[in-house]
Amino acid sequence: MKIAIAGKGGTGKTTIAGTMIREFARMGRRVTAIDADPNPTLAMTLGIDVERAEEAPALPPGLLVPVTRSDGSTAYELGIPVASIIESVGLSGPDGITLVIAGRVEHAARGCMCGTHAAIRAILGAIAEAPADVVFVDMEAGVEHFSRAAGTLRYADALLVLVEPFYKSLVTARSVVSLSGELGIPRRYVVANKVRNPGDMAAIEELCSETGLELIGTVPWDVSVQEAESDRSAPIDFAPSAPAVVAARQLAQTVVDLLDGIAAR
Amino acid sequence: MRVAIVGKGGVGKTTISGTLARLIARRGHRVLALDLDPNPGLAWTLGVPPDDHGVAHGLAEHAGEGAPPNAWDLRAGVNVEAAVEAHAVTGPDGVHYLSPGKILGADWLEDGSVFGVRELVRGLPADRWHVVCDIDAATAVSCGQHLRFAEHLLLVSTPYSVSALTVERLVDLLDGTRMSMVASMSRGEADRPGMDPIARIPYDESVRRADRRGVPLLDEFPECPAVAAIDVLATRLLADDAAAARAARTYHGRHDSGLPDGPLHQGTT
Repeated sequence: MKIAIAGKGGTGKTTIAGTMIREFARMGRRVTAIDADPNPTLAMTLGIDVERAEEAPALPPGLLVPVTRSDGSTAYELGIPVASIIESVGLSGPDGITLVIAGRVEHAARGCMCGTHAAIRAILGAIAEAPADVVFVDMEAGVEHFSRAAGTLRYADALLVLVEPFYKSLVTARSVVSLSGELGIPRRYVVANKVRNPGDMAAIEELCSETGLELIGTVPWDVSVQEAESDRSAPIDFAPSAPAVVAARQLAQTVVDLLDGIAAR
Repeated sequence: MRVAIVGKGGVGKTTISGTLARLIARRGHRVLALDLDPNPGLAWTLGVPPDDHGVAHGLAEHAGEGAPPNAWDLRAGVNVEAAVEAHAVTGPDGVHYLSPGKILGADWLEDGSVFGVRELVRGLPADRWHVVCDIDAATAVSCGQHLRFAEHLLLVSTPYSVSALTVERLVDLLDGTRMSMVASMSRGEADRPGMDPIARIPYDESVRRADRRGVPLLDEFPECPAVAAIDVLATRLLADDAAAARAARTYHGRHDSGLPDGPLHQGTT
């Protein structure tokens, strides 16, 4: 199954993704995690040493072969099998997970990397065909990558729309829902994060009823998440039974049940 | 001044950008608030209606076949200040809000609006306009050319390590432009080694409450500690800017509004 998580920056995508990915692995699934954020931080929440991740190789630019489309524009296709890419740049992590940092670009600021950014998206689409039970993509923040032209998420079986009970996060979530709808992703679910009180829940429930999407998980606001971050540790290692961590682990189980149930029908 | 406020999502840079732009405008300056964060938000913190206004479409054209994908220039005959007046939305305190468009999913690359904005801002007379730009780390990292207009980068970080890690990366990538740290959501924690902030914006529940309602912090809680700290930052930046302008006149006998050829200005593509 191929799952993506999206939402505004700072909503907690990477924290929840890292915890869910570890939980999938503990359920015995073979998991490939893809960090698609050009500012990648998934390694930390997975429990992979930050310095090791910082030194990990970037995706080599020669991976993609430019192909001229019928309208004269250029598309990129993968010139190397996905399994070899994962073998060469994948980092192994706790519980047997593999992390591919797809979003890393080198010396970006020296020139415009818009072309490379497009290439990263092409790689991402292809990597989703990786030989794994679960491919989990931690998307970059915002909504830009949902445009038809980017189409990075065409492959996803399910999209988790992460939302905080704040205005800007809710607005981003509405855009994510509206744009992802055009991509034809079969399943889209809402996940609430940093929920503190019933007023917070009301804002989230309003989003769900407005968009017709089901809320499949609620992760409470939890200081343990910040403490884990200060410790540069994965939440699942730092505070395995903290309320937010427990909720994210339950969410992994819920997603597996939902998608396995759909596959079985 | 031409500042860009850069950092990871969620660190408070949009609140800081919008509030700072208005506080500078309140001192009688002409301010362009430039929105290069693909997350919506700057419009709300400024108090500009949340439609996809302030979009600069059709101002730029691509250099043509064989040129790099980012090689867009302003169309011949575009008057920079007139175009800013025409495309920007004027919000509270007279701040001009400009964005390449995003809320409705405009494609930044294919219609060139992001490059139109980039070129407009570079061409804006520095002695007549202050520019405050809100840009997320991912966009800054993916396309450093967006920051070519900036004289001064304010790197915003919370005390938590992921946003500090982001700042460390930005310092490496954007080396060559003047940079300062801004500590956000500060609860009096010790600064991380090597990160000596020029401003410390305190953790303030008012920010959360304003965001909960989708209203500008400055209108909802004008007296709150976060606004007071951003006001101090505005004073400091304006003083720095005035001093730099005086120094430029002293050393060069003229006000030099041109951009230096730092590493950011030498595109590799």
